[in-house]
Amino acid sequence: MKQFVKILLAVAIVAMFSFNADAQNTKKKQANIAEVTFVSSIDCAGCVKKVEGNIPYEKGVKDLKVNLDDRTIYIKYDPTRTDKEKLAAAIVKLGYTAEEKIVEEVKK
Amino acid sequence: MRKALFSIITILFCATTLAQDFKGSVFYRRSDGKTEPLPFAQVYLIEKKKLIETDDNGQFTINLEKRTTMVATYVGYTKDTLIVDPGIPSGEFYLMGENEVDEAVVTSRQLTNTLSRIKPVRTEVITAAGLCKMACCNLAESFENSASVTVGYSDAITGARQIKLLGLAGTYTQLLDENRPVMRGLASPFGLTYVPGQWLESIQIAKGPSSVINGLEAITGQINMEHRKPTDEVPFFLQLFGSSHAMAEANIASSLQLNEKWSTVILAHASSVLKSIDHNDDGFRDEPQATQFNLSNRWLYYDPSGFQMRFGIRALTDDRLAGQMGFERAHNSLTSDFWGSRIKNKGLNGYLKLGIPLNEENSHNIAIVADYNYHMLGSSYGLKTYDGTQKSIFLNLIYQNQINDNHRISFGLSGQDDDFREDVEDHRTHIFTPVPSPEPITYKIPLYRRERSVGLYGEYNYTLDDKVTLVGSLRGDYNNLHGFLFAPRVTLKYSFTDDIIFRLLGGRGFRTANIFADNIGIFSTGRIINIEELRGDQRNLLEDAWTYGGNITFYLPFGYENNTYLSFDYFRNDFLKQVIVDQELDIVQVLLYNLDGKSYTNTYQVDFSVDPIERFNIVTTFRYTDAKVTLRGQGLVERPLTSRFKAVFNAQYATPMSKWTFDFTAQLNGRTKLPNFMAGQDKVIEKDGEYFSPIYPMFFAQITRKFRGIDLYIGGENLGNYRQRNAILNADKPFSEDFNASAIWGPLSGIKIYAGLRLTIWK
Repeated sequence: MKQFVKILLAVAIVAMFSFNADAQNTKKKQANIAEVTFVSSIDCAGCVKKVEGNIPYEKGVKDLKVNLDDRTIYIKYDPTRTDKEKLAAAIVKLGYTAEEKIVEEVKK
Repeated sequence: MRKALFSIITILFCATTLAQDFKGSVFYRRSDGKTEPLPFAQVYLIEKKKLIETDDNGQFTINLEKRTTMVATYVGYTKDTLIVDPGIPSGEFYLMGENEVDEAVVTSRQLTNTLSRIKPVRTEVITAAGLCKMACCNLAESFENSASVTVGYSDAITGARQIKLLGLAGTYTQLLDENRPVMRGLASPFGLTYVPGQWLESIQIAKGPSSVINGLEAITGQINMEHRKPTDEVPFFLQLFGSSHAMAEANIASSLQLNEKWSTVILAHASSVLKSIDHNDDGFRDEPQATQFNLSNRWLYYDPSGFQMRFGIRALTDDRLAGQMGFERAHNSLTSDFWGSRIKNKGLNGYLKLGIPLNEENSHNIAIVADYNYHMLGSSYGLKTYDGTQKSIFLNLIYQNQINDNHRISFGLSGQDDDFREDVEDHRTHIFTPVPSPEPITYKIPLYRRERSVGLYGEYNYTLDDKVTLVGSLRGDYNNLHGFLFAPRVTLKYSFTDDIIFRLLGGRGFRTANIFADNIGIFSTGRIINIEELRGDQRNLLEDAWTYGGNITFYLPFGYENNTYLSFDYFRNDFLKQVIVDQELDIVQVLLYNLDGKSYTNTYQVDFSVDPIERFNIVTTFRYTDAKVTLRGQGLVERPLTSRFKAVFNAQYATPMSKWTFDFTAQLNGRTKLPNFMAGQDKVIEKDGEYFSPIYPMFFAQITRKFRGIDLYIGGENLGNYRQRNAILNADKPFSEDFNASAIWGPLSGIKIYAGLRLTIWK
């Protein structure tokens, strides 16, 4: 049994290191980060799962927040690797609409 | 969306449904109260899935054919929603700057174990993400993160799992499958292991007797399981799992949408323990060598008019080989030199649910539920055999009327028909103690029970904004064995503020004890089973209890996304009638008799959950149970085999988009009063002539890595390798009366390492 504990610990340590490496890479590229929020036709918990199961694996995607109440999909991405159109197309490919929320501040 | 300006105006206008133009105006309300039009704001039409924009003057015009929900949004502003019926000429939306109100930001990660804010009954929800925190081979294992529910083994032989809610056996908790009662009677002792965790979408644990709609059997609470849905856009899901205890499991789920109206989900499960293991060298298998196949097919027909039909079937077969290592499948436990056990379960279930709207808004509707269950159990435990069949039919007709936003009434009529045929035989040939008996003794206990009941019920639900919810319900059943049974139940939810929610509830519940199925562990003893006092009159099997309690939950303004809460629970349960199983009165018998005196439980619980930083969640829970029961010859004593407390600490950290997830759970299990025959056993503590188990910890950890369509996970259970050693008393004399494998207070198997993968193919 002790062997199993050792194996588990080894896996945990390797996982932590590779995660840290990820985090460091992210830090380096921090300058190259853009954000976009789409208003989408997602209307069910299953739709949220589908978006969360696919969009993270699109090229250049750094973070994702899906909100069913607001029907919004927020994406943080690397603009050198992808753009808003490609991200919108990826959402449309899943079967939902994706209209960009206007970013311009209208405070009068 | 706390504190957000989120006004919902529902305008009922039923007389005309002719298409008419609706003119909407979107305004920005400044902090000084003045308003101004908001040009180019976005308005989302939910039913039409259409997005439109306001013009230069902040206005828009649309043609409405049916009721439409419109959400006006603008970046940096709050949103506002209007529900508009055709015929309404105009409406106004008011948005405020987000900085001007304490607006909660968007929800990111899916919450795992949470407390529902909305439900009037104190409801703990374990979501799919929570179910993935652990291996979750089956329903029993899904509760390891929860202090409300304690999971244990019925005995050290059969692998049967049992849960405890509010300090009482799981048999007092009503289990529902999408609001249909399941796992009753013969299907209950192994039922928890027949619900694969991977089939489930979520589990809701409601403490206390809540709804009367599904009968009177919910005494300590209800646990409802939601399965994967036919409408999920996942045509193929596969999970493979293997553990260091030689357990292999595979689950397949396929949700298919055939057209706009028809969809179906197919769920399949196969699992097997490939090898027998005896870690503690007592000659007995630590876990049974079980092979299970389980198949379910569920259908949904949904008509745009609101009519829906759901139906499905499920078939399962499970074959377990347990007992001494030398006992094999080819052997007969009655003639073998080894003490062996063989347990075969076969079950078949079919159901139909109809939802029929009686008006366009679906505020009047009728629901019909029909369910048929067949279960067959054939088992042997050394020289004892227990065989039985159960045929059950459940029918429910519910009428519901949402009179307006404040009042809702439901009426219903339901019926239950149970046919139980059970046969217990003990083929012992002689008694070892106190003096050898000259005569061989073999006894048989045939039991037949045909129980039919018809019940009428009504439930009134009063809601005042989000402030007050009051649910009062009454149910009267006529039962052919017990006569009239009458149960009132009341639930009150009151929100002092958005962040302080108070709940009170109380009510009565009844059930008929299934004396053998409820106490499957008594077969794994060398004792004579004596039910003479209960026989002759089936009214003796009635159990009757009142449960009442309350909860107060504080949502606290700190931690990431203000997801922090602190919750206190208190529940009290009093039995008026109960069937008692006593192994302490006599050393060679298990006696079953009716409670004569008090039997009660007080349960206190504190829950605290916080996200200190983004994607890092900590949940801690502490439960304390004071359970007492009157046992013959002992008076009012602490209820045996009920842990006094349980503390759970769970921490989960996920990297962005949950590509990596790390979970850690620690439990501290409180001491348990043990029956007096446990004296002198390993780790058993004696105090003032009473015997207790030690306090012991349990640790669980899991790492999950997600790729597109594939999750890989590896984890460990009972990492501290804590065990109740020698859980089988007198394992070296299995045919003696002193043989006993039914007093279980701790984990039976040591450290377990597992790994698995989940493959999801999206539509």
